[in-house]
Amino acid sequence: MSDSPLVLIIEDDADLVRLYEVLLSLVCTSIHTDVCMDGKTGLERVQREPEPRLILLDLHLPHVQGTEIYKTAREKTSSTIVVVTADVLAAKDMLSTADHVVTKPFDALMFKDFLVKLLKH
Amino acid sequence: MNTMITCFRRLADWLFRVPPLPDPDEQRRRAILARVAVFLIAGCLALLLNTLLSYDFGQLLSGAFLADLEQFPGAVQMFLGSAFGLAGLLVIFGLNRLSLGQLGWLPGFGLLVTVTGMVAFADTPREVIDGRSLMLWVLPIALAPLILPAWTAFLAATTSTVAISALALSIGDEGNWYSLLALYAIAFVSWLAANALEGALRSARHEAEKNRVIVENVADGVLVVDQGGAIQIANPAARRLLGADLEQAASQVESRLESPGRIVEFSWAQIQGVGRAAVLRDITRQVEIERAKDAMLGTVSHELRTPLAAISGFAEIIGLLSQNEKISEMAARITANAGRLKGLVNSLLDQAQIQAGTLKLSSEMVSPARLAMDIRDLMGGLAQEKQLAFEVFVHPQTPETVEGDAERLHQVLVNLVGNAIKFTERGTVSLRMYELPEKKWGFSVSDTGDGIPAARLPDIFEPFRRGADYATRPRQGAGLGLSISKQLVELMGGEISVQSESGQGSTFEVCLPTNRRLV
Repeated sequence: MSDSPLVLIIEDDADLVRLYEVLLSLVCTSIHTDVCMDGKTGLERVQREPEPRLILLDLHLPHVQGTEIYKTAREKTSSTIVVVTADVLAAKDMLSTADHVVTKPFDALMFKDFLVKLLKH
Repeated sequence: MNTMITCFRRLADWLFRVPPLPDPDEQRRRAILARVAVFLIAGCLALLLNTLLSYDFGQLLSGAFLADLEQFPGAVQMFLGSAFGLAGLLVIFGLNRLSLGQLGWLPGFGLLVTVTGMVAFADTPREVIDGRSLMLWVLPIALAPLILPAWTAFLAATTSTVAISALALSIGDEGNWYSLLALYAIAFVSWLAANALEGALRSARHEAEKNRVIVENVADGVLVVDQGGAIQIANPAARRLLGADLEQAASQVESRLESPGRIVEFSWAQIQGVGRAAVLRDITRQVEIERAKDAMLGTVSHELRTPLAAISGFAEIIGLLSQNEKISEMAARITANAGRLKGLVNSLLDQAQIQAGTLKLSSEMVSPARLAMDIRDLMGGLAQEKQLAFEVFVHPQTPETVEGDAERLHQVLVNLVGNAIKFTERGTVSLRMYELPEKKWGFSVSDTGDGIPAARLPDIFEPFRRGADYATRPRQGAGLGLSISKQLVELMGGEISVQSESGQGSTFEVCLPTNRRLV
């Protein structure tokens, strides 16, 4: 794991953003996080430097849908993208294209272990 | 060659043309009349030319050829009869091409008179009345019911008889009465045949009309397209449903046509010798409701899952970080209850998807033995907690792999085994897998629990039903598991059944095809 990886959180639910931050702090204390709480800022952020190591991406977002952000991020960055959604049908549709899809609610401790694995690579 | 055939066809079409008439019987008679007239005109022309071509121009002009013809018995009569016939037939041919209204009988009547006249002048009067020309008299009598109403065969027979009698009197002969009787016999047979034909046509028309009225008045749209893609039938409902899209609909093969503000469903069927036919239904409202329901489900599911993720996530972290045993225990309870809520949300979503027909099953190769082992690993702990024996037995003949949706099979097994453990206080829960005849396989889950009272058995697979009244039972659950399991098994093309007696435990049996056709 590099010293201080950057993780971009695109999620409109403030409690979940906080949950991700706590889980990431448990993974590694030096992690930096960037948070976008709507689709529009998320889309702008993925097209800007610095490139995050990991993106935690929700699908149903205000203004711009997560699927569109996913497409842009996939084209413009080499970041690892984890789609985290509560929409199981959309999650099924994303399975064929996305690298990692996690449905809410998830087991927090297993999710933490999963983040450890992803950030190690 | 093809050009010749086409030209010939066009010529025939032109010659046999009849104006459109309101009465289908008259239309049919006039069409026959057109053909008869054309063939008789050709016959008369041939007879005339045969005579005329034997003489030079001068002889024809001076009329000397008639004097020459008198040397042959009957030749002059035949010549004059043909000329008279040709003139009459041409007039009838022309008349028949007009619609004529109330005078529609005129061409047929004219043809009868002309043919009778032609026959009367076909030969010398003696030859005509003594039976040699009897065969010719049959012609107008047999023709009459084809080109005029059936009873006119007798009119033709009477006219012929009068003509023969007049000829006989004119040459001072008694005539041949047997021949005259024969003409009435022919008229009778002709009338019978024509009546039978008209009766058959009438009942066929009646049947066709009945069907037409039904098709015209059914509430659903009916569209029939021939093999070339041309519309044969489009009833008023179909025209109303499709509007300007009618032509487009005729060429489409999909089962749905969406235009702004309207969705029409087609059920196509191939019909041999006709083409294809579709029943059309307006499903706009139905689709709107389905879409609204899907959207609502998605939203509800999303809105429940997101806070659940936060609740269980923070509870797990609290449990992990807390040094205080009581706090850890309470955090674990929050996590467990959030897990139950998650299960309920999943069940509700499954139930709604199954009912809406939107649940899609995947198709992959699944190992029943592997599935059984997974269930043993997953549910073994739960049985152990209640100090129950959990037996898993895979019969050696069980297929190594079957086609199915592994995730959903797993879900059904977890439901059945979970229920068995939940409702059993002591004894054993067993899972068996085996082969069944006719390319099927199955599994059974039995327990030594309380069993299900006979009165509860019929609706055990209904949603939101439980083996006993919810309030009096200490067990948790919404009562969706069995309902979802049954519907999943049925979607997989299988069957589920239960055998149980109060106090004797229960056995659930599932039978599935080894090759699942995609539903």
